[in-house]
Amino acid sequence: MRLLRTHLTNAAHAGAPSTTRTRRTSRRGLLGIAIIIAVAAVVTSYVSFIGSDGEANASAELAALREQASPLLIYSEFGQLADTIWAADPNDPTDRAYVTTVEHSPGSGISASVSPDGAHLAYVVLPPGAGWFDSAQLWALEIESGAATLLAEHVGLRTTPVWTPAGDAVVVLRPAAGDSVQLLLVDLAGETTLLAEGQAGLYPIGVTPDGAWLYFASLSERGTDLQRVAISGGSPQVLAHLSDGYSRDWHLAPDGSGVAYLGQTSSSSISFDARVYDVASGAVQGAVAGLSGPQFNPIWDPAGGLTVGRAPSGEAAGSLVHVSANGSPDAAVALEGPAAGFPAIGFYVPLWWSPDGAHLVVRSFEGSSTANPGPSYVIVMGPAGDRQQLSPLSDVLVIGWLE
Amino acid sequence: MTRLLLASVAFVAAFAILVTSAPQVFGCAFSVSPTTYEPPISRSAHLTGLEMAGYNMIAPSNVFFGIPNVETGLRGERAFDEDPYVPPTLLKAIGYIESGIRQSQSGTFGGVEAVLESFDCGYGIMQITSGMTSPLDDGWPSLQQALVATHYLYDIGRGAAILVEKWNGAPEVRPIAGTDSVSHPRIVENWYFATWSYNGFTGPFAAIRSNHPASPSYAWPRSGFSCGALDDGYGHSYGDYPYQELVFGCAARPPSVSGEQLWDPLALSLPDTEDPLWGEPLSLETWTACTSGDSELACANWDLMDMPSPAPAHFDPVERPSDEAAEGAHGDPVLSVSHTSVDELATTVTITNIGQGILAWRADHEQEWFAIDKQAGVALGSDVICTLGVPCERDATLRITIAPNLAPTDGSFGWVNIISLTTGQLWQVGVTPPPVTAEPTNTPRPTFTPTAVPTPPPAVIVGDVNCNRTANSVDATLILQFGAGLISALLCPEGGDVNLDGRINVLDATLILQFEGGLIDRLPPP
Repeated sequence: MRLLRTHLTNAAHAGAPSTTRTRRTSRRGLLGIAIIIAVAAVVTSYVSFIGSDGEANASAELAALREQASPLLIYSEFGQLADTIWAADPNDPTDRAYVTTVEHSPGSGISASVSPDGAHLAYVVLPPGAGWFDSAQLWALEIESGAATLLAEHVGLRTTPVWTPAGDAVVVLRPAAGDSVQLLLVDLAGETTLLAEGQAGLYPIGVTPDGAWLYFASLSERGTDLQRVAISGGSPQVLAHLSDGYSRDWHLAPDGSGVAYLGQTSSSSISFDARVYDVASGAVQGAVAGLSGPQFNPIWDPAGGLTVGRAPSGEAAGSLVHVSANGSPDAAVALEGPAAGFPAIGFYVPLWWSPDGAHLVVRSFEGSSTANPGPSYVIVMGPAGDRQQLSPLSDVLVIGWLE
Repeated sequence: MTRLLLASVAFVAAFAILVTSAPQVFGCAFSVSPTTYEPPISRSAHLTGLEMAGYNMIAPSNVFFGIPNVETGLRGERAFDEDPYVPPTLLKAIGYIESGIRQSQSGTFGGVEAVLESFDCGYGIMQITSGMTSPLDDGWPSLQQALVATHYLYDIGRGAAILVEKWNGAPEVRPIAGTDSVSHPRIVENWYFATWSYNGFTGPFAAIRSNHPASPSYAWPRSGFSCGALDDGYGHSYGDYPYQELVFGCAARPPSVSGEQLWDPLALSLPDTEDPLWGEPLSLETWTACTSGDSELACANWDLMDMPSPAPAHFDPVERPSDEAAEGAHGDPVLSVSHTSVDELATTVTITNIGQGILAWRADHEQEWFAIDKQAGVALGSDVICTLGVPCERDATLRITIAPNLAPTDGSFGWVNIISLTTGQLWQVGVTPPPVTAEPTNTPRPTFTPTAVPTPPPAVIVGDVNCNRTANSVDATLILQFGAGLISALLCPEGGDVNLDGRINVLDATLILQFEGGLIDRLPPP
């Protein structure tokens, strides 16, 4: 590329700019070069995701693993130049199958999610050669075949794609003019629909089970609002003012009945407690009655219960608290405190329940507080209280489950 | 049909190869990428340069490459510290985050290569973008721009100067960190807001990339960032952290080269936002008050965001480099050029450093009837290390080409100015038009390329998307890269819709290649 530019600089013609001129006489040389380049093109094909022998083996490996274990945990391991996506048996995370590798701009890992039907994996990536402030690309990977399709460009890298229940489209963010941002619905053919736009920070949360509404949060100088917009189009509606300050980590209940999130506890401290917005009543209440202290990432279990992380308090390590769907705290031992082989200090942030409710994936921090969280790793907690580290790397992105 | 087929194959092939290359940068300070010398991969020279910058040893009396006096003191009591200083470890971390501490495009350590340029016109180790987006010297890159791009030491110096400018933005346009330590610059944590500003002082609801620590875009809580090994238990993905956390994390967990950490870890503290001492200054309410411009709100000049030093605070133990080390880094370049005059239609002159160290040079001329093929570069003294097997031309070349149809016939002449950027030594090469011959010769005439100088606002050239006034395969490649999302914009998009269908896509690229191949005579085709 650079050699080409130098050559052209020396070869340009003088005189008034024009794109009309006489034919060249160097056709033979051009044709010769074309033949050489064409041969090289066969070797260095741009369509890197067409199935090859290597990818066929990977697909077979994944298929075999799906036969023996379900659901499978899908996750990504960060690499400086590429992230690698795996599917693992949560009962034994060392038993895993390769899914794909996504090359990216040095140092900039992907964001990703699995479609509800398990057929596709959507990911947002800064392509190789892009800079920090460049916008990213949205791709869809067909999990079974390994074929990837570019769906959209100029997408915000920090977006985790939000799938429709039918698995036929995702919602992502796109930067727009004037420092504004758009929420886009992108289908698997790459057709885009503008759902909402604003100069606030917009955060897509989830699409309701009937596929009708996208719930999203907007953070502005007024605080955080919960909004929804019809997938079919229309103006966004403000459902609730979640906080005068920050709120975060919003999760739509599996049945669409509520949104769990963290709300700021006071204006003078950036500390959070878990809350639930009830769709039917519009009311907001604490996720766990009587639970005090800083809390982390409230997630839903498949049955509609909630799991919340708690920060360490004094000498005590952090813990996980589980609230069943009927509201009663669940004193399941498996979720309590540290276990043998794990540090006596530290705390957990819940990440994801398996669809069958048998496993809980958490991020385990070794530090003593949020100000000094220390190193962390992703842990899979099993039904018998067993805990296994998912990867030797810390930079693990839990993408979802494959049934 | 065969020619059309082969030309089409050529474009597909070119696309297959060229789109996997690093994208080109056009429209910044240089029309031709200058060369730069990249010190060896150990980074020893780079790190010495970063330490020199911290102690204002690169260009102490220079307002552009030297550190301005650093302010210290509380709001309303600010004064200049007598000893300009930036924590060297902080500069090292910034350099690594910005470029992996490399000056050249592909990291030709111990060699000479084109300078590292990014899409936003960031140059070199510190990715200097301020003042680098367009040539500033009457159409030519200025001496300062040339020195930023060609000499790693001055790129570093400029970066340090910019960081101090961000620091000195407080208290008028930035908050103060270190209200409990008279905001002393020797406390590294007090550079929190200045570091944040180096990458953009964006708030919690910035459209895409926020550097605010409370932005919901970032995980909460989160392990610190690390430039160390991927299995050290910390984070390594740039997109997962605000910029200042990348820098502080890299300072605490440095990278390694050949198994050796590049610097001693400095475990910097971040603000504990759960503590009101830091939580309130970083709250949404405070940010809004300080940035809304609403005079009814309580914040005046960012005072509500002032905060104590994140605790525990640290000094940087890195000591001032020796004067000998600084002299070695600067070298003592002496400019020599192979010609004092040229009178041929095309002549290549050689630029040599007959002294020591790196000679950074810039060339320019006023007359428009001849051209030069480069604007800036380097020539190396015999003492400069060239790594075996790495491209490392010690001498630079400059081709001077005369346009015979434009050359004066009244006996007047021109000259090319070649200046040594660090010493000011000037060498002029006189350019004299060759005598006009009565009979045409069989000697092929060299091709004349006008040197890039300002022109009146141009009309659109169909097929020209890189604004170089020519439609060729480079434009076709750029269109393909744009279509694939590998680049985010075209410099002259108005030239891209070759077939006038309202879109810029592969069809336009095909037509450009066919035009260059001589298969069609004009763009747009009839």
